[in-house]
Amino acid sequence: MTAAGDKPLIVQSDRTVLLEAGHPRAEACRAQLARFAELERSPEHIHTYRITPLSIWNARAAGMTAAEMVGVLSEFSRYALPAAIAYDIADQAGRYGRLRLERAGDQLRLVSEEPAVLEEVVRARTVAGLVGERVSAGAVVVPAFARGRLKQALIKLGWPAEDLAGYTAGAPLELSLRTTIDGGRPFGLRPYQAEAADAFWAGGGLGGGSGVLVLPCGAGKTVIGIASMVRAATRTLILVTSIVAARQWRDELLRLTDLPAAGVGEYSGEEKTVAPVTIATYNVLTYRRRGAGRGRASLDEAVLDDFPHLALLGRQDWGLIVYDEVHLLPAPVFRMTAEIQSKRRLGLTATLVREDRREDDVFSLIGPKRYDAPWRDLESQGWIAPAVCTEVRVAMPDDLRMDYAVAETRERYRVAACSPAKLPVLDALCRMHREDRVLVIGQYLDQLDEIAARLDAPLITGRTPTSERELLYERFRTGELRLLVVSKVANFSIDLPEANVAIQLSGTFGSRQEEAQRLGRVLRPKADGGQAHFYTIVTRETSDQEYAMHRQLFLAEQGYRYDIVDESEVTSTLAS
Amino acid sequence: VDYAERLRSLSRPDLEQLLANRPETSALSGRRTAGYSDLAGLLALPLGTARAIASLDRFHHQVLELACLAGGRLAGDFAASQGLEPEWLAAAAAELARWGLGFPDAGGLSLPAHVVAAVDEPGRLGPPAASGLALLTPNALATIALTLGAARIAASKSDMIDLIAARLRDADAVRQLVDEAPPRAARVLEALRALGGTSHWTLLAQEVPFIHTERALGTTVLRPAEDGLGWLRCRALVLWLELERRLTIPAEVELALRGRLFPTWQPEPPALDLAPPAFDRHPAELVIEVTGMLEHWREPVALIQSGDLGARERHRVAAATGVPEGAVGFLANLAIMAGLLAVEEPPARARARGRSRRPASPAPARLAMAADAVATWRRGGVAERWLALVGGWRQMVVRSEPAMNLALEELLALPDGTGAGTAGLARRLAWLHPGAFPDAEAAAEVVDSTAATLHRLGIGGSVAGAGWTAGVSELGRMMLGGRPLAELAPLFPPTEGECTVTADLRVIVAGPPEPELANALARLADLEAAAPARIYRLSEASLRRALDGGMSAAGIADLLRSRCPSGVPQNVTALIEDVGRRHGRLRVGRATLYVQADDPVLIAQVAADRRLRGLGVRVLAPTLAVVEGTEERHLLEALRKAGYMPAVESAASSPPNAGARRRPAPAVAAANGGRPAPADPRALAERLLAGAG
Repeated sequence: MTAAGDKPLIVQSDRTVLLEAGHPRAEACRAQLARFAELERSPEHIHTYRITPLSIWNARAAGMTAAEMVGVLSEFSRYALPAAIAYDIADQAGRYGRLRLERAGDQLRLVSEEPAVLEEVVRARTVAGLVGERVSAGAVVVPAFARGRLKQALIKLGWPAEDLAGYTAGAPLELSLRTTIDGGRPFGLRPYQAEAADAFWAGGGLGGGSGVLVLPCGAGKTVIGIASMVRAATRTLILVTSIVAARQWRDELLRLTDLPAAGVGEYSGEEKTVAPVTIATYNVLTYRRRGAGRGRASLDEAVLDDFPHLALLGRQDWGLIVYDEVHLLPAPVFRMTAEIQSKRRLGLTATLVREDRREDDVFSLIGPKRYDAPWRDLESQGWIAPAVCTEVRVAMPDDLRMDYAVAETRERYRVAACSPAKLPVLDALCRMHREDRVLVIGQYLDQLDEIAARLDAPLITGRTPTSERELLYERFRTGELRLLVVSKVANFSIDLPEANVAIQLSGTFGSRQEEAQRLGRVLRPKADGGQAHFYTIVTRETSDQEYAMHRQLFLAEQGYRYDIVDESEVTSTLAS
Repeated sequence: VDYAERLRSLSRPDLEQLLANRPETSALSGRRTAGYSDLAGLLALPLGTARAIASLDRFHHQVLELACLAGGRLAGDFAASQGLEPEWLAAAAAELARWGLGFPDAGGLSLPAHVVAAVDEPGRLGPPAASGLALLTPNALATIALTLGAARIAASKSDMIDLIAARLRDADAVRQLVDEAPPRAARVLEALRALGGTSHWTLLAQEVPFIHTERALGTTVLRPAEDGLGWLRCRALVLWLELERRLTIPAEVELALRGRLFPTWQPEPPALDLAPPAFDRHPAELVIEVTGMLEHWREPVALIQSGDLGARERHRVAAATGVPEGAVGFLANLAIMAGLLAVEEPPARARARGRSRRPASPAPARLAMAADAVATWRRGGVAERWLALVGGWRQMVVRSEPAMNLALEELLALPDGTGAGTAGLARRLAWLHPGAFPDAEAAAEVVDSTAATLHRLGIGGSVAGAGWTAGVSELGRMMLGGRPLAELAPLFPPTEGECTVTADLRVIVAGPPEPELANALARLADLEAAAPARIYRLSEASLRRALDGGMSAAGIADLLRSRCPSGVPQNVTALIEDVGRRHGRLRVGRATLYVQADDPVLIAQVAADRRLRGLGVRVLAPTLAVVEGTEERHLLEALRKAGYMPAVESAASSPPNAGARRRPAPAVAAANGGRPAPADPRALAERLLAGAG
């Protein structure tokens, strides 16, 4: 076994790849590696990538060959490559593009140069119902409705099809980017933003027009989405995760493009306007009519009946559909997306990892990865900056220790999380960040009430009306308010890029991805380049600390710096 | 022609080659006179002849066998009818001459008589008909001869056997006979051929059970039969080889059925598919694995009856050390050969108890660590420790694994830096050494296990998509060549002595680690991935395990700090400190007896009592003390002697509770049917009355 110490990569036999982040050649290597491997963990010093069939197919879709992939590994690998890796990459890469969806006249066909491959998949139970008559040894007819579902089925068989069947143009729409914004400030796309939009659009050819752009939080996904819309110049449906996000999209569209206000509609739980550019929430699309959809003739009818607003997808002659936060795309929307494969589709996300493991559906229905922003580059160029996470541990007051010890499991967490010992630390942190915009987050309403009163700050909970929330958010944005107390529920729909300090007192995160989502927002790099902070106050040696451990691991994996300090350090810093 | 004359006709280079091929000829150099007749005498000795025959490759061995089948004189036309081309025959004859085993003779090949005698069952055809026929009575032989269509019966038994054998040599006639065989007879013949041509009666009867009914028909006598075994025996297609035991298809019949003695001839060795092997396992991994196993076996472990490690023990070791279960036995053997582990024979068998009829099973042998040897071994450098392990293995292979030795030889003969596909290697080995490997399949087994072993030792190439590319690293070549440590150590690939601790609680060693580092990390973290970089996961549980094993929190932090140049992230240090602080707050110890009293003064008094000093009373809490190393009755006696009035708590009574004072139950409780009485009835009544009003 020979080692070459001047190389940054270690290729493991379990298909993970370790990249030594501080290595002089790390950046050169990352640029190549990220094309065919997904970043799994990025703590300081050593990043972990994983090579999967999907990541290989993504690379193939971007035109990278198996030999190039193996070449990158060999070039940067410190040790001899595990023998099976090259074989595996060649095997998986060889599967992409052997089947293609093509258009012949007005017919859609699944074709292959190898009749045996075609025969194999056509005989599969999951595919048999989705293809029509045999045209030749190497081609079968595909009914238009089956285009998406066939691709889904094929990828599950390990034979991803290349979709070269093209798109319908959609109704045209005039829009262009402004050159100056906000009353005269010059505006232009950042170089990587233009690059990403171009990678998606691919000159309008068959090789582009559908796919996913992966960008870190704060890199300006909205801007890139808008730039892509300008290239497509067609009526566009934008699907987003929340009403707040929808309004942010609308504001950005009006700010950055010459679209008139009437040209942008919001389709949500609160408003249902359909305009040439319509922004809809996943929530409204997946709104389910109770008891409907039973006893229908076809599944499609049942789906439409079940989800009345899904029809929006077909209501207008959309030429482009934008999926914001594509990793959160709900299952019913997948189903409908399978029906509209002739429309251009753009997915935007910070991560391809889905909690439900449906990454392959994103690949087959939205499209392959078209761009993966080099976040190290963005960071070094100052476009984004990571936040610092600090866990402050406080001791349990003696009089509560016995309460905690004898409490039921569920109640225990509450006892620990609501410990009054957290309050002096909270006070200290708030004083420390007097000049910043601070969010205080908690789960328990009585605790939040108490804190709001103690800090003399407004409280937003799930029960606060939207109008009042928006008002408070607005005051926070303008700087009039510097401190907000929010509940976990309200926090879901918050998008406050101005907040640069978050202090979490209680509340556990649900899924890892929900966590990414929330932290991504709160920890978004600031316009002024200032440092963002995330604090959690945790009661030592309780279940509070156990939950904090999960959060710690997750954040560390994401590459955030994570410090653990004692309450005395916070209070003494303040004293000094 | 005389053997010596044949030898005399050899050219000088051929003669030299002969002398090199037959090492026994070196005896001649010591003799005062050395003539061709002396040489012939030496070469004709049976042992040397057998050795020379065994050294032949498959092709020359087959030519030799064919010549034996032909009675020692292989003519060109017979050879051609057997598929052996004339030029191959000529070349083979010349080569066999260089071994002193045969000589070119008028376009054919002639074997000396002693060579013919040394070849047993050419082509594995089975024994000739004569050997089975000799067991039969003259009457039975006559029956066979007549059934086979002989016109007359020969005079003597031996003539009759010759006659029958001659008939069986008529291949066309035999084939026709077999074609006409009735169904049961055909099935018996088929089954017997499938069993290799000769089989024990009972084995054959498992395949064709109906022959049981024919067993009574006898073995020496023979009666005409319509079908079955009897039908075959009447035609000498099947014969008893040992009466009532083994049946055989005679060689003549087998040859007729095969047509050719050998279906194919391969005059050249099969080619190898050469490729550079991937040496993806570091030799230090072996040292790490064995060290881990030795840690695990600090206490001797019982072996199962067969003297092996039991499946459960293998499983346990695999789980604890990360060594694959299948490799545990091999590694244990390496450690035994290196003297690090020793098998302790069971102590003399305990006498069977009283009336038990079954003999008591002997106590199992145990595998125990040889502490001194291990300590010495661990002091050595990593290359030295590795050599200690593999050196024993090398000697064992040389001594007692001839087949693996041949495979190693072949691997070592490959050009430096190349490996060969195992399938091709197996075919080649089977061709080169027909004596050691009956076929390519048998060779493949040896080649695969050799390749897997070399890989485990850290000197072999690894498995790729389509199969193994076997190869030996330079270090491996030198080691197998028996080179000393001083020459091997510089070739030993470097190991990683440093690690990186990341904030997501991982410890990553970027390459094969120094065994010390690996084994230290294994104590305090869980191994997640091992090749080539090692990734360990720190957790509360893993740290607790390290603390349980005697490490201190400070020690753990120091170890990581000293090995991690990029620094230990703050949250990791915090975790270690935190676990260290919490570890051991609840303590468990061994106590045989306790002394408990509600009154702390009494306990203090007992503890301080000089008369009880010998008991070693330890106060754990104000109302609880423990006493070790004595029995209950001695303790009671001592306490009573000193004037105390102890009472014994039964097993059912509550365990000692240092915190709570036990109070005698109020006398009323029993009268109340067990319900506790209110502390002050009058006050309660007053409260009730107040509430009601």
